[in-house]
Amino acid sequence: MQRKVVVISKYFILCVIALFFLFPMFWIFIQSLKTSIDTIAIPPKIVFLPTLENYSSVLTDINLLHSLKDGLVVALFSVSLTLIIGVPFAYALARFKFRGANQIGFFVLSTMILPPIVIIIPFSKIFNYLHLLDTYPGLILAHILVNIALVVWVMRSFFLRIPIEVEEAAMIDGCTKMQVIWKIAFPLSSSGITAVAILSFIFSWNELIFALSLTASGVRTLPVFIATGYVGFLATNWGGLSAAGIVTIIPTIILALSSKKYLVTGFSLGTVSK
Amino acid sequence: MQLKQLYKKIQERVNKTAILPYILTLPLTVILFLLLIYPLVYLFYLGLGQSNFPYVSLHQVRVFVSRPFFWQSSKISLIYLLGSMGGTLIMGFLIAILLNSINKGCSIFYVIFIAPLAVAPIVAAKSWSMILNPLYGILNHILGYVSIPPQEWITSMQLALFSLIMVTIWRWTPLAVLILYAGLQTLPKQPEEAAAIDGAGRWQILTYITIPLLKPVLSITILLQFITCFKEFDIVYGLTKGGPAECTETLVIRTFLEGYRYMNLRHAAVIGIILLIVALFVTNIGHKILICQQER
Repeated sequence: MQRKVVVISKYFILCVIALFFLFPMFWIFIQSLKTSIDTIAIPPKIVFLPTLENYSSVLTDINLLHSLKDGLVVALFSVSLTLIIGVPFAYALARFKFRGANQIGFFVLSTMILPPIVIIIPFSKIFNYLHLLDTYPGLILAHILVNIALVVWVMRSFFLRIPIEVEEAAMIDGCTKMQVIWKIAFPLSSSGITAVAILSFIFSWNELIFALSLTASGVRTLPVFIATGYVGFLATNWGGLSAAGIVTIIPTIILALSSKKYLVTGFSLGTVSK
Repeated sequence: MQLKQLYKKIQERVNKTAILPYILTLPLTVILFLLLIYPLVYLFYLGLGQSNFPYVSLHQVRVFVSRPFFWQSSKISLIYLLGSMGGTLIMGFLIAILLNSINKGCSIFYVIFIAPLAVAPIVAAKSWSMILNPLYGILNHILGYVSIPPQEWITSMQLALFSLIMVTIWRWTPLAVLILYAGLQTLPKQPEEAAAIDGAGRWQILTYITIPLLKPVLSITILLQFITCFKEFDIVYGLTKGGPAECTETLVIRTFLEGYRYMNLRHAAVIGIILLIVALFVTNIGHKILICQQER
C-alpha cells in the first residue's frame, strides 16, 4: 500500500513538472490560433473560435519567407563548414598524439565558454572593415563559433569508441592512413556525424545574438525577425508573432524527434564520457 | 601522369612522417585563429588601447569600474547566475532521480523534459512574456482562481529578476536532466541494492550512495550550467531587455546595450574583457577540479 502511494506521488510530481515545461509551447500554439483581438482579451480566452488567419498571413508574408530562406542558407552552410573543419580535427584529437594536442583541444573548448557578446564587439568592427556585416558569409563564419566546440568534442568521443583494432586491421591489409580515415573511421561514426549535424543545425537555426548584432535587413534569420518584426509602435501583433514562432519551432521539433536516439547518445557521449 | 606521381609522392610523405595530424588540425586552427584570437586581441585594443597604454587606459578602466552601474550590473548578474544555476540543478536532479526510479512512461516524460532545448529561446521568451503579461497574461488569470492577486511579473522591479530566473530554469533544466539522467543510468546497481539489503532507507541511499557516486557527473553539470547561464542573452532580451529601470540588466545585456544602443564600443569592450576574464577564470578552476576528480 505504501509503495503504491509512493509510485503515484512520483507520477503526480512528474506530471506537474511536465505541465510547467509544456505550457509555454502549448500557449503559443493556442495564441497562434486566435484573432488579434482575442490574443489580448481580458480575461484571457481559453474557449474561442480557432482561426488559421494568422498562419495564412504569416506564410504569405514576404519578409517571413525571406527569413526562412536566410535561416536555412546560414544554418546549412555554417553546419557544413563546421563539420568539414571540425570532424578531421576531432579525429586527430582522438587518434594521434602530437605536440600541443591538449592545449589546442582546450582552446576549442574555450569557444563554448566565451559569452558570444564578447566576441561580437570586435567582430562588428572587423566585419564592418571587411564589408561582411549584413551578408551571408559574415553570419555563416560567425555561426562556426556557435557549434565548433560541440562538433569537436562529441565527434572525438565517437572516434574514441571505434575499436583501434579495426583501423589497425585495415592498415595491415594495405590501407593508407588517409584511406583508413575515409573508409573506416568516418563511415563507422556516421551516426555521430548525423547527431552533431542535426544539433548544430538546430543551434544555428535558433541562434539570436550573432544574427541580431551582425545583420540588419539584408540577412535576417527567423529569431531576429521574431524579436523585431512584430513589435509595432503601439502594440505587438501577438497572433502573427505566435504563428511565426510555431513556424520556427516546428522544423527543429521534427528534426529532434526523428533523430532522438542519435541526439541522446551524441549529447551524453560528449558530456558524460570525457 | 606526372601529377599522379606527385600525388603518390605526397601521400607517401604524409604516411611516413607524422605530418597527418597537423594536416587534419590545420584548417580549424587557422579559422579559429582568425575568428577568435585576432578578434580577442582587437577587443583588448578597443577597450584598453588607442591612448597612452597602459597608464591612461588602466586609469580609465578604474574610473569605469568605479561607476555605480557597473556594480549594479555585476550584482544583478550574480543573483541571476546563482538563482538560475541553483534552480536548474535542483530541478534537474529531482527530475533525473524521479525518471530513473519509475518503470512505465519514462521515455514520454523524457521527451517532454528535454523538448525546451529544441525550441528557439526567443520564441520561448515571447511565449513567456504573453503568459506573464500583467493585463492579459494567463498566469495571473490562473492565480486568480486560488485568489492570489495579479502580479506584475516582468514589469515590476521586485519580480522581474525572479521571473527571468524562472524562465531561465525552464530553458536550461533540460540540459541538466539530459546529463544527470545519462549519468544515473551508467551507475552500477549493486551498491544501492547492497545498501537496501543492509537496511538503508531511500533517503540514506540517495545521500550516502547515489550522490557520491554521481559526483563527477554532477560537477560537469555544474560547470556546464555555469557556462550556459553566464552567457544567457536570448531570454533576457526577449523578456525585459534589461528593464524595468535597469533592474534586470546583467553584464551580458549591458555589454550589448553599450555596444548597440548607446553606441559606445569602448565601454562595451571593457565589460567584454571583464566577462572574458571571469569566464576563463571560473572554467579554469572547474577544469582543474574535474581533472583532480578523474585522477582520484
